[in-house]
Amino acid sequence: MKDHEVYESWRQEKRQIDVSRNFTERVMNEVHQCEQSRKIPLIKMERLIDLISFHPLAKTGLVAAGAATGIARLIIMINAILSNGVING
Amino acid sequence: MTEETGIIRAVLEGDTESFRLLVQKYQKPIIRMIANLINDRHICEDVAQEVFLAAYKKLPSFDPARSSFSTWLFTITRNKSINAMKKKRVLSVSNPPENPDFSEPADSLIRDELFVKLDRALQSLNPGHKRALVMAEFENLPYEQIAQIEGVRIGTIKSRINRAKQRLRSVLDGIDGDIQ
Repeated sequence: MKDHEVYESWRQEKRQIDVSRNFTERVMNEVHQCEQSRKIPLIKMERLIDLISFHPLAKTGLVAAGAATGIARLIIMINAILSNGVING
Repeated sequence: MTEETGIIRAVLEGDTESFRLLVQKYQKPIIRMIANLINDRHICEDVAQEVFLAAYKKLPSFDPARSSFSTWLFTITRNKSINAMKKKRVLSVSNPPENPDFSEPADSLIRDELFVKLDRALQSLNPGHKRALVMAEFENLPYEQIAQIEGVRIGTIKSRINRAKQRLRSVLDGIDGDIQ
């Protein structure tokens, strides 16, 4: 018994795999459940998180919206400070 | 447009049932890869289920220009297997084959013992080396595809496989011949 024969035999054994008969069905049930949950209103938090996690555009949009909000707040604040300064001065 | 691209497009257009064709096509290699990586046949189908569900959810982000569907799916499998290994650190040994084709019982015993040693050596490999070996030797994936899945250069994959084989070869020391 040569070592390459042993190795090849082991390799072939590792390539053998039994898949449960209902595996595809189990996956498809989960997929259908997932699809059902997607039909629930968009406002649902889980759906929003899913949307943001899996869509790069949604992620970019969220970051851009956050940045825009931050900048807007900054502008309003600076404007308020300057207005107060002008009034007081 | 390949048949697979057509199926993916159908799924994305709302034909959820078409996803079944992808599951049927890839279930065996995916379950086998997970089984050989985490060495626990009891949970490998659960992990495979997670892989397919994640693939379904992420399908809109799959870009055929960046990789083939199989590479993309094997990458999800790799990541899910790593997570599963972190959750459950297993070091069990797979069962010896049920139908040994060696005529001599003594040969069969020696072979089973060597299989157990090889299994142990496989599970004790560095995780990166093990993944490279499993994908190359049991899934017959080309080095280029393995490199893409692992996010490293082909040279790194070749080196990892060589080191893994060296380690396995040391298990078979004392037997005539060499591992090819």
